[in-house]
Amino acid sequence: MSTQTATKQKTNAVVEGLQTLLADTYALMAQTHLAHWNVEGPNFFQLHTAFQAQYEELFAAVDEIAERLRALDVLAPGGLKTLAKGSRITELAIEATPAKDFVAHLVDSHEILLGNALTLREASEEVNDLETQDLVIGRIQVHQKTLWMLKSFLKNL
Amino acid sequence: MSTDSTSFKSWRHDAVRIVEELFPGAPREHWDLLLDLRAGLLRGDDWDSTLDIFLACRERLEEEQYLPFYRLRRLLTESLRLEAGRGNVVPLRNILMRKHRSLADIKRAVSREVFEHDLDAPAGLAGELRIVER
Repeated sequence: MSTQTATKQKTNAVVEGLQTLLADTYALMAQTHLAHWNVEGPNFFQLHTAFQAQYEELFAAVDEIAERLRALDVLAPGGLKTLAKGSRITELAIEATPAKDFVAHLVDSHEILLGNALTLREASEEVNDLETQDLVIGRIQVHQKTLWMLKSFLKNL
Repeated sequence: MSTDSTSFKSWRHDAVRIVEELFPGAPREHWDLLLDLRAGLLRGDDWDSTLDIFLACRERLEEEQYLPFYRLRRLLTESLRLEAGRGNVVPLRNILMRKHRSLADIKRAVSREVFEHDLDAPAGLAGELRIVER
């Protein structure tokens, strides 16, 4: 394999990783928004507010990730169907759901996204794409912090 | 035993891993129950018994370990179903969201619900209910 071909494959891994990160972030934003609307119970105000802060942060991140793809001269994927196909994050059924189940579902969703983001961090390091790596490290930090908060809520001390 | 490499389904592998991760945080007096749950998932030949043990474990441990029991519940509802005789199939999703303490509780509740919606259903339907893998 020529050096040029190897570099192209590695760059493709970065683009694919960014496309997955975009789809995961969009899917997670939609699930967090759903949780914000439908959560019920004694922790309603606390969770309703926390979920809002989270989906607003994710909305801003979607734009940042899409614009990084454009900076790499790649068109950004968009549209609900296209983005849903690009993510492994599952959707909650629309039915009465215990508040803790919303939190647990979001934990699982953040963990799926985080796993993919860690792969993208390695891929961008391999091709010395420090700008993508910087973006992804920032996203990883956000998701690790959110996971800490969500998991803390589920603890019963 | 139906646990050879070709038939051992990945959902059961995931469920066994979750049960194994429960041990360090569980009081020792509940380890035998967790071992029974692990063995039931590995064997995969008696889902009535395995679900009953899951409910017993959940009653004792879920308060302290919500996330693993949420994950186990999801795997079980996606992979098992309740057959209620005469072709009736009851999704486990809503049933496991309720806090039934045993399979006998579930069978009584489902039998009552089926009877209320199908007047021709036999009164002793609970005996015909069984958990099967999808």
